[in-house]
Amino acid sequence: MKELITNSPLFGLAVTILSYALGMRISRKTGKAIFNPLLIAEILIIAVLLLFDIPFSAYNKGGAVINMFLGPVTALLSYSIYRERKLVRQHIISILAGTAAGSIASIIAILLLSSLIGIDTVLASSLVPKSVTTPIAIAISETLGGVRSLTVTALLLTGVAGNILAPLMIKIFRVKNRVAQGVAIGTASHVVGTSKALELGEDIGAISSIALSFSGIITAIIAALFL
Amino acid sequence: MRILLQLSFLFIVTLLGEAVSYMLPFTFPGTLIAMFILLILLGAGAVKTEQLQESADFFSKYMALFFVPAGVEIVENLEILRTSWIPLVSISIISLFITFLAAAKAVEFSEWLISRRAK
Repeated sequence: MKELITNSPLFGLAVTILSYALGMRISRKTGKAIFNPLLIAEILIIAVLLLFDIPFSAYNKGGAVINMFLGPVTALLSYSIYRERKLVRQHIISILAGTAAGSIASIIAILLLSSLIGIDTVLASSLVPKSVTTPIAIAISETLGGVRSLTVTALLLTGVAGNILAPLMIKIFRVKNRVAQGVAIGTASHVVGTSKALELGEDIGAISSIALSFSGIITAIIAALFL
Repeated sequence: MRILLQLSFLFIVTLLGEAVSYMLPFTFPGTLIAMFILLILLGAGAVKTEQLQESADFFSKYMALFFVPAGVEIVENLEILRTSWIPLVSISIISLFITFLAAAKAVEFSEWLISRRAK
């Protein structure tokens, strides 16, 4: 009976969508960054899989269907860049400078820290794209030979930490310029951080959402050329 | 009907991106090439933003849903997580600060250069 249910792709589809809906509801009710819908959905699904001893391969029959939509989701990032083209054109040099500096610093920091601590290369490769937007990060992790689920875990952690710590980092690094605040938040902590940027100001949020696409592209190019 | 056409269009663009990625001499994600293709189509005016609006709104509202399966895969790697969570957490947090600082200061520097040249 159990196999009959879990071996259908419908199981993975249903459990994923239901958990995410629950996650969105909890997130909206509490309004706290730590109650991220993606994080809640993952914990719920993993709990179900472990509790009922369901293998990931069974879950992933449905999961893979949802995963297919990463393509359109990534492609549509250019929709938001294009819609904000006035803002992009206005600050293009600063956005390019900031996202390039941030992406390069991020990759160097991760590789240096990884070799310092002495973790294995698979884990290091999984961490390299952890600051960029999720669909791009998953793609980069796969091309680098990383484990994409580790990338998503590090990415969630970075995003939630970035969301919570953004006001503190603005203060201790004395970042007064609003464009700089937006670019830094988007580059360092992708879309989860961007939701905090939107709270700080609509202009900062818009810049942040542009920066997260740019840093994703730059990181992918660096990964393709040098790693 | 509109939404069906938008979805088909987006899947075709993604497929095209994958095809181009396959033909490249180096490894570069096909989904990102699909993103460039769409940007070119929008920039050239071949596709209007209004023609994609419904799908774009839907995917941006529920974007994180599509990341769930990739994240759940961690159950296959719980052992790595158990043995390496300390480096994973510390590297993630330290590099967050470094990335933030580098990006912010680079923007401030470039804005300063621009304002100086304008004078």
